[in-house]
Amino acid sequence: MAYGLRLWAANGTDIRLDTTDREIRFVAYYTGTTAASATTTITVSGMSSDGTWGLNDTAYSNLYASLAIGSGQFTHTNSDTFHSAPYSIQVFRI
Amino acid sequence: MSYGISVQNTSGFIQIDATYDNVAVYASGTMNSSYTGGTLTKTAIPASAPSDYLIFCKPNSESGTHRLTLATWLDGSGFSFFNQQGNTTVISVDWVIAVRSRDMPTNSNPDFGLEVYKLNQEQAFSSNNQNFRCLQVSFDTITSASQSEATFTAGSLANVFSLMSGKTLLGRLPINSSFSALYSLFVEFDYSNNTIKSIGAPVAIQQLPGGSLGGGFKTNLIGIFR
Repeated sequence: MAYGLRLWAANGTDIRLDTTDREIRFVAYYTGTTAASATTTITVSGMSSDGTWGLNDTAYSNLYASLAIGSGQFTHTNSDTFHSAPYSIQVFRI
Repeated sequence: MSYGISVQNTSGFIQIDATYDNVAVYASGTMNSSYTGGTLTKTAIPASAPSDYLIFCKPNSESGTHRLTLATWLDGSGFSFFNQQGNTTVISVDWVIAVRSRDMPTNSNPDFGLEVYKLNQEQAFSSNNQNFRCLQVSFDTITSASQSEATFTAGSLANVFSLMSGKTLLGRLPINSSFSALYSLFVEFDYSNNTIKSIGAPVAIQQLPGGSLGGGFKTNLIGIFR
Protein backbone atom coordinates (compact mmCIF):
# COMPACT_ATOMS: atom_id res chain seq x y z
CA MET A 1 0.00 0.00 0.00
CA ALA A 2 1.58 3.21 -1.14
CA TYR A 3 -0.49 5.50 1.04
CA GLY A 4 -4.05 6.15 2.13
CA LEU A 5 -6.49 4.72 4.65
CA ARG A 6 -7.72 1.15 5.03
CA LEU A 7 -10.50 0.37 7.51
CA TRP A 8 -11.64 -3.06 8.60
CA ALA A 9 -14.95 -4.18 10.04
CA ALA A 10 -15.02 -5.58 13.56
CA ASN A 11 -14.41 -9.10 12.30
CA GLY A 12 -10.94 -8.03 11.22
CA THR A 13 -11.43 -9.55 7.77
CA ASP A 14 -13.92 -7.42 5.86
CA ILE A 15 -12.44 -4.22 4.50
CA ARG A 16 -14.85 -1.31 4.90
CA LEU A 17 -12.65 1.23 3.13
CA ASP A 18 -9.61 0.63 0.97
CA THR A 19 -7.09 2.90 -0.62
CA THR A 20 -8.46 2.42 -4.13
CA ASP A 21 -12.14 2.90 -3.25
CA ARG A 22 -14.09 5.76 -4.76
CA GLU A 23 -16.87 6.82 -2.40
CA ILE A 24 -19.97 8.84 -3.20
CA ARG A 25 -20.71 11.70 -0.86
CA PHE A 26 -23.97 13.57 -0.51
CA VAL A 27 -23.71 17.34 -0.97
CA ALA A 28 -27.24 18.75 -0.89
CA TYR A 29 -30.91 18.15 -1.63
CA TYR A 30 -33.05 20.74 -3.41
CA THR A 31 -36.81 20.76 -3.87
CA GLY A 32 -38.96 23.26 -5.75
CA THR A 33 -40.94 23.80 -8.92
CA THR A 34 -39.98 25.04 -12.37
CA ALA A 35 -42.70 26.76 -14.36
CA ALA A 36 -43.78 25.57 -17.81
CA SER A 37 -41.18 26.34 -20.51
CA ALA A 38 -38.80 27.72 -17.90
CA THR A 39 -35.41 27.02 -16.34
CA THR A 40 -34.46 27.15 -12.67
CA THR A 41 -30.81 27.83 -11.83
CA ILE A 42 -29.48 26.59 -8.50
CA THR A 43 -26.12 27.74 -7.18
CA VAL A 44 -23.81 25.09 -5.71
CA SER A 45 -20.43 26.23 -4.48
CA GLY A 46 -17.57 24.56 -6.32
CA MET A 47 -19.71 22.61 -8.79
CA SER A 48 -18.16 21.89 -12.16
CA SER A 49 -18.45 19.44 -15.04
CA ASP A 50 -15.22 17.68 -14.09
CA GLY A 51 -16.93 14.29 -13.70
CA THR A 52 -16.97 14.30 -9.90
CA TRP A 53 -20.43 15.87 -9.50
CA GLY A 54 -23.65 13.91 -9.89
CA LEU A 55 -27.30 14.94 -10.05
CA ASN A 56 -30.37 12.82 -9.43
CA ASP A 57 -33.92 14.15 -9.89
CA THR A 58 -36.31 11.84 -8.04
CA ALA A 59 -39.49 13.87 -8.63
CA TYR A 60 -42.24 11.66 -10.01
CA SER A 61 -43.18 14.27 -12.58
CA ASN A 62 -39.76 14.70 -14.21
CA LEU A 63 -40.89 13.40 -17.59
CA TYR A 64 -40.18 16.66 -19.43
CA ALA A 65 -37.48 17.94 -17.10
CA SER A 66 -33.76 17.89 -17.70
CA LEU A 67 -30.69 18.80 -15.68
CA ALA A 68 -27.39 20.32 -16.74
CA ILE A 69 -24.23 20.76 -14.67
CA GLY A 70 -22.48 24.10 -15.01
CA SER A 71 -19.79 26.05 -13.26
CA GLY A 72 -20.89 26.81 -9.71
CA GLN A 73 -24.46 25.92 -10.57
CA PHE A 74 -26.84 23.53 -12.26
CA THR A 75 -30.07 24.08 -14.16
CA HIS A 76 -33.44 22.35 -14.14
CA THR A 77 -35.22 22.93 -17.44
CA ASN A 78 -38.89 22.12 -17.97
CA SER A 79 -39.75 21.64 -21.63
CA ASP A 80 -43.45 21.05 -20.94
CA THR A 81 -45.26 24.06 -22.40
CA PHE A 82 -48.40 23.55 -20.29
CA HIS A 83 -47.46 22.18 -16.87
CA SER A 84 -45.00 23.17 -14.17
CA ALA A 85 -42.47 20.54 -13.03
CA PRO A 86 -41.67 19.90 -9.36
CA TYR A 87 -38.11 18.80 -8.68
CA SER A 88 -36.38 16.84 -5.91
CA ILE A 89 -32.72 16.93 -6.79
CA GLN A 90 -29.91 15.16 -5.00
CA VAL A 91 -26.43 16.57 -5.54
CA PHE A 92 -23.46 14.36 -4.78
CA ARG A 93 -19.71 14.07 -5.29
CA ILE A 94 -18.21 10.91 -6.72
CA MET B 1 -10.12 23.15 4.80
CA SER B 2 -8.73 24.79 7.91
CA TYR B 3 -8.84 21.65 10.06
CA GLY B 4 -10.33 18.16 10.17
CA ILE B 5 -9.72 15.20 7.87
CA SER B 6 -9.51 14.60 4.15
CA VAL B 7 -8.81 11.11 2.83
CA GLN B 8 -7.97 10.53 -0.83
CA ASN B 9 -7.74 7.30 -2.75
CA THR B 10 -4.72 6.39 -4.82
CA SER B 11 -6.19 8.22 -7.83
CA GLY B 12 -6.66 11.44 -5.91
CA PHE B 13 -10.43 11.24 -5.44
CA ILE B 14 -11.61 12.31 -1.98
CA GLN B 15 -13.17 9.43 -0.05
CA ILE B 16 -13.93 11.08 3.27
CA ASP B 17 -13.91 14.64 4.49
CA ALA B 18 -15.74 16.66 7.07
CA THR B 19 -17.73 18.58 4.46
CA TYR B 20 -19.95 16.08 2.64
CA ASP B 21 -21.87 13.01 3.80
CA ASN B 22 -20.86 9.48 2.85
CA VAL B 23 -23.70 7.17 1.80
CA ALA B 24 -24.56 3.99 3.73
CA VAL B 25 -27.04 1.12 3.68
CA TYR B 26 -30.24 2.07 5.53
CA ALA B 27 -32.39 -0.87 4.49
CA SER B 28 -32.03 -3.81 2.13
CA GLY B 29 -33.93 -6.85 0.96
CA THR B 30 -35.07 -8.98 -1.94
CA MET B 31 -38.31 -8.71 -3.89
CA ASN B 32 -39.86 -9.89 -7.15
CA SER B 33 -39.82 -7.83 -10.30
CA SER B 34 -43.14 -6.76 -11.82
CA TYR B 35 -44.42 -6.33 -15.35
CA THR B 36 -47.31 -4.43 -16.84
CA GLY B 37 -50.41 -6.60 -16.60
CA GLY B 38 -48.85 -8.99 -14.09
CA THR B 39 -48.68 -9.20 -10.32
CA LEU B 40 -47.43 -5.95 -8.84
CA THR B 41 -44.81 -6.35 -6.12
CA LYS B 42 -44.27 -3.30 -3.94
CA THR B 43 -41.74 -2.74 -1.18
CA ALA B 44 -42.61 -0.10 1.38
CA ILE B 45 -40.21 2.72 2.16
CA PRO B 46 -39.52 2.64 5.92
CA ALA B 47 -41.58 5.36 7.59
CA SER B 48 -38.48 6.68 9.33
CA ALA B 49 -36.46 7.05 6.13
CA PRO B 50 -35.39 10.55 5.11
CA SER B 51 -36.83 11.94 1.88
CA ASP B 52 -33.50 12.10 0.06
CA TYR B 53 -32.71 8.39 -0.06
CA LEU B 54 -31.16 6.58 -3.03
CA ILE B 55 -32.38 3.23 -4.36
CA PHE B 56 -29.97 0.66 -5.80
CA CYS B 57 -30.64 -2.83 -7.12
CA LYS B 58 -29.23 -5.89 -8.86
CA PRO B 59 -30.72 -9.21 -9.94
CA ASN B 60 -30.48 -11.76 -7.13
CA SER B 61 -29.30 -14.46 -9.51
CA GLU B 62 -26.21 -13.14 -11.21
CA SER B 63 -26.66 -14.86 -14.57
CA GLY B 64 -28.28 -14.10 -17.90
CA THR B 65 -29.40 -10.65 -19.02
CA HIS B 66 -32.06 -8.61 -17.22
CA ARG B 67 -33.52 -5.15 -17.77
CA LEU B 68 -35.10 -3.38 -14.81
CA THR B 69 -36.55 0.08 -14.23
CA LEU B 70 -37.63 1.68 -10.98
CA ALA B 71 -41.17 2.85 -10.31
CA THR B 72 -42.00 4.79 -7.16
CA TRP B 73 -45.42 5.44 -5.66
CA LEU B 74 -46.76 8.98 -6.05
CA ASP B 75 -47.32 9.16 -2.29
CA GLY B 76 -43.74 8.07 -1.63
CA SER B 77 -44.87 4.96 0.21
CA GLY B 78 -42.97 2.38 -1.81
CA PHE B 79 -41.30 1.22 -4.97
CA SER B 80 -41.29 -1.56 -7.56
CA PHE B 81 -38.98 -2.80 -10.26
CA PHE B 82 -40.51 -3.36 -13.71
CA ASN B 83 -39.42 -5.57 -16.59
CA GLN B 84 -39.38 -4.27 -20.13
CA GLN B 85 -42.77 -4.43 -21.88
CA GLY B 86 -43.44 -7.97 -23.08
CA ASN B 87 -41.10 -9.68 -20.62
CA THR B 88 -43.33 -11.64 -18.24
CA THR B 89 -40.51 -13.47 -16.46
CA VAL B 90 -40.52 -12.48 -12.80
CA ILE B 91 -37.05 -12.39 -11.29
CA SER B 92 -35.82 -11.91 -7.75
CA VAL B 93 -34.23 -8.49 -7.22
CA ASP B 94 -31.88 -7.42 -4.43
CA TRP B 95 -32.45 -3.81 -3.38
CA VAL B 96 -30.77 -1.28 -1.13
CA ILE B 97 -32.03 2.02 0.25
CA ALA B 98 -28.99 4.20 0.96
CA VAL B 99 -28.96 7.41 2.98
CA ARG B 100 -26.51 9.95 4.29
CA SER B 101 -24.41 8.81 7.22
CA ARG B 102 -26.10 11.44 9.42
CA ASP B 103 -29.48 9.80 8.80
CA MET B 104 -28.42 6.31 9.81
CA PRO B 105 -30.12 4.87 12.91
CA THR B 106 -28.21 5.27 16.13
CA ASN B 107 -25.71 2.46 16.46
CA SER B 108 -26.29 1.02 19.91
CA ASN B 109 -23.45 -1.42 19.58
CA PRO B 110 -20.49 0.34 17.95
CA ASP B 111 -17.28 -1.63 17.78
CA PHE B 112 -14.21 0.22 16.56
CA GLY B 113 -12.95 2.01 13.50
CA LEU B 114 -13.37 5.58 12.32
CA GLU B 115 -16.15 8.13 12.71
CA VAL B 116 -15.93 11.55 11.07
CA TYR B 117 -18.18 14.46 11.97
CA LYS B 118 -18.88 17.73 10.20
CA LEU B 119 -18.58 21.14 11.78
CA ASN B 120 -22.32 21.08 12.55
CA GLN B 121 -21.84 17.84 14.53
CA GLU B 122 -23.58 15.68 11.94
CA GLN B 123 -21.87 12.41 11.14
CA ALA B 124 -20.16 12.36 7.74
CA PHE B 125 -18.71 8.85 7.86
CA SER B 126 -18.71 5.78 10.08
CA SER B 127 -16.83 2.56 9.44
CA ASN B 128 -19.64 0.79 11.31
CA ASN B 129 -21.82 1.41 8.25
CA GLN B 130 -21.82 -0.44 4.95
CA ASN B 131 -20.75 2.41 2.69
CA PHE B 132 -21.07 2.59 -1.08
CA ARG B 133 -17.89 1.94 -3.02
CA CYS B 134 -18.27 3.41 -6.52
CA LEU B 135 -16.85 1.29 -9.32
CA GLN B 136 -17.81 3.39 -12.33
CA VAL B 137 -19.83 6.50 -13.10
CA SER B 138 -21.08 8.17 -16.25
CA PHE B 139 -23.50 10.92 -17.20
CA ASP B 140 -26.07 10.77 -19.99
CA THR B 141 -28.20 13.38 -21.64
CA ILE B 142 -31.08 11.47 -23.15
CA THR B 143 -32.33 12.74 -26.50
CA SER B 144 -33.78 9.54 -27.95
CA ALA B 145 -36.12 7.06 -26.29
CA SER B 146 -34.17 4.09 -27.59
CA GLN B 147 -30.63 5.39 -27.42
CA SER B 148 -28.06 3.11 -25.79
CA GLU B 149 -26.10 4.87 -23.11
CA ALA B 150 -22.57 4.35 -21.81
CA THR B 151 -21.72 0.74 -21.00
CA PHE B 152 -19.90 -0.23 -17.83
CA THR B 153 -17.64 -3.27 -18.16
CA ALA B 154 -16.22 -4.97 -15.08
CA GLY B 155 -14.06 -8.00 -14.48
CA SER B 156 -16.84 -9.35 -12.30
CA LEU B 157 -20.36 -8.19 -11.55
CA ALA B 158 -20.54 -10.12 -8.27
CA ASN B 159 -22.51 -8.06 -5.75
CA VAL B 160 -22.46 -5.02 -8.04
CA PHE B 161 -25.48 -2.74 -7.63
CA SER B 162 -26.70 -0.01 -9.96
CA LEU B 163 -28.27 3.29 -8.94
CA MET B 164 -31.92 3.10 -9.97
CA SER B 165 -33.44 6.31 -8.63
CA GLY B 166 -33.33 9.48 -10.67
CA LYS B 167 -34.50 9.80 -14.24
CA THR B 168 -36.81 6.95 -15.23
CA LEU B 169 -39.75 7.86 -17.47
CA LEU B 170 -38.62 9.26 -20.80
CA GLY B 171 -41.84 9.90 -22.66
CA ARG B 172 -44.57 8.35 -24.77
CA LEU B 173 -44.09 7.59 -28.44
CA PRO B 174 -46.72 6.52 -30.99
CA ILE B 175 -46.90 2.94 -32.24
CA ASN B 176 -49.82 3.46 -34.60
CA SER B 177 -52.86 5.70 -34.86
CA SER B 178 -54.41 4.23 -31.68
CA PHE B 179 -51.59 3.05 -29.43
CA SER B 180 -48.42 4.45 -27.96
CA ALA B 181 -45.56 3.08 -25.85
CA LEU B 182 -44.51 4.54 -22.53
CA TYR B 183 -40.70 4.59 -22.48
CA SER B 184 -38.56 4.36 -19.38
CA LEU B 185 -34.85 4.26 -18.69
CA PHE B 186 -33.85 0.69 -17.87
CA VAL B 187 -30.64 -0.69 -16.42
CA GLU B 188 -29.46 -3.78 -18.29
CA PHE B 189 -27.43 -6.29 -16.28
CA ASP B 190 -25.61 -8.61 -18.72
CA TYR B 191 -23.79 -11.27 -16.72
CA SER B 192 -22.58 -13.10 -19.81
CA ASN B 193 -20.51 -10.12 -20.89
CA ASN B 194 -20.03 -8.52 -17.46
CA THR B 195 -21.63 -5.26 -18.57
CA ILE B 196 -24.17 -2.89 -17.10
CA LYS B 197 -25.74 -0.12 -19.14
CA SER B 198 -28.72 2.20 -19.22
CA ILE B 199 -31.08 1.91 -22.14
CA GLY B 200 -34.43 3.38 -23.04
CA ALA B 201 -37.15 0.82 -23.69
CA PRO B 202 -40.95 0.54 -23.48
CA VAL B 203 -42.42 -0.33 -20.10
CA ALA B 204 -46.10 -0.29 -21.11
CA ILE B 205 -48.41 0.02 -24.12
CA GLN B 206 -51.27 2.47 -23.84
CA GLN B 207 -54.36 2.97 -25.93
CA LEU B 208 -53.49 6.58 -26.46
CA PRO B 209 -52.46 8.11 -29.80
CA GLY B 210 -49.46 10.37 -30.24
CA GLY B 211 -47.02 11.30 -27.55
CA SER B 212 -43.59 12.90 -27.30
CA LEU B 213 -40.17 12.33 -25.77
CA GLY B 214 -39.30 14.07 -22.53
CA GLY B 215 -35.65 13.14 -22.43
CA GLY B 216 -33.53 14.26 -19.51
CA PHE B 217 -30.32 13.75 -17.57
CA LYS B 218 -29.13 10.64 -15.75
CA THR B 219 -26.20 9.90 -13.47
CA ASN B 220 -25.26 6.25 -14.02
CA LEU B 221 -23.53 4.72 -11.04
CA ILE B 222 -22.49 1.18 -10.18
CA GLY B 223 -20.69 -0.11 -7.13
CA ILE B 224 -20.57 -2.34 -4.09
CA PHE B 225 -21.82 -1.87 -0.55
CA ARG B 226 -19.36 -3.01 2.07
